[in-house]
Amino acid sequence: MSDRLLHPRVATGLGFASLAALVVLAILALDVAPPDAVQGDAQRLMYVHVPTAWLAYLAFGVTALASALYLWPRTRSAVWDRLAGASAELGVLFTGLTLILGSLWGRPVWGIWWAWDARLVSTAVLFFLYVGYLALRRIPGAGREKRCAIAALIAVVDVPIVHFSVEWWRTLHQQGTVFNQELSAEIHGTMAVTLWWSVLTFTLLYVYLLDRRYRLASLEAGREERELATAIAERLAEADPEPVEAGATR
Amino acid sequence: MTDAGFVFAGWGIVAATVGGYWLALILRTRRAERSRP
Repeated sequence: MSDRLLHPRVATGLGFASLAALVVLAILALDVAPPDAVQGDAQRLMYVHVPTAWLAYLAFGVTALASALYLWPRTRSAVWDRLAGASAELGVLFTGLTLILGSLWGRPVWGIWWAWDARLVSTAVLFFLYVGYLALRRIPGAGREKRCAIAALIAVVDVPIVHFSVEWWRTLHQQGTVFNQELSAEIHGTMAVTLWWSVLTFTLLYVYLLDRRYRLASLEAGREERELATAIAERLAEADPEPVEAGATR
Repeated sequence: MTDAGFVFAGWGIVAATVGGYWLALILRTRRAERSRP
């Protein structure tokens, strides 16, 4: 595990599997699953909103874990730093999608695009925290990796706040439904299958994209090292011109 | 906009964003691989 997370053939296979799973998901979610009894067709946004939110949690969790492994001296490696950065970028992508999809779902169901609701605000804070983290990664200098790892461990505190916000505060956003013991909600079998399929599909997609992003980060790190080595060699050559031969007259 | 309009807008945004991101990753990776000595 140096410049790739997965064997190239495994990565390619995973890419095709993700694509096939997405096609099946689109058919299930847009055609096979019945419309919601209350929300009608608007509820079909759930099959992309829920998995993107799950991926935001997963991606930032992976970033935090990789950052902790970087900070621990016995496991410190550039691999963990690159993995943390790659996963954070995916987390920002999927958190942004979660916010947009939530807004698109909120308009027909709540009648508004946005509310200053604990779930929505904490999710927006999560998005900007990790945009800041990605910006921090671009600031060069000694100790950059350590600084970023600490920032990632601070930022991940918002993940449980987002998750439990609907229980800790009175929110417009609904509480958890599927695993809520108090509600004991019954969900139509096809809807449940489609929802689980969407979570599985997006998880596959995350692993595939993480591998691609990690590969790119490795290549870019190699290029930066080569450029640095070239620049140092040029400076040394400028400072130390060719030695004058013994006995030669100037 | 109808409910179906919101649904297709949402799914379209997901497809365009993820597809665009994937394409950008592929192109940047190929460029980085070509620049390797």
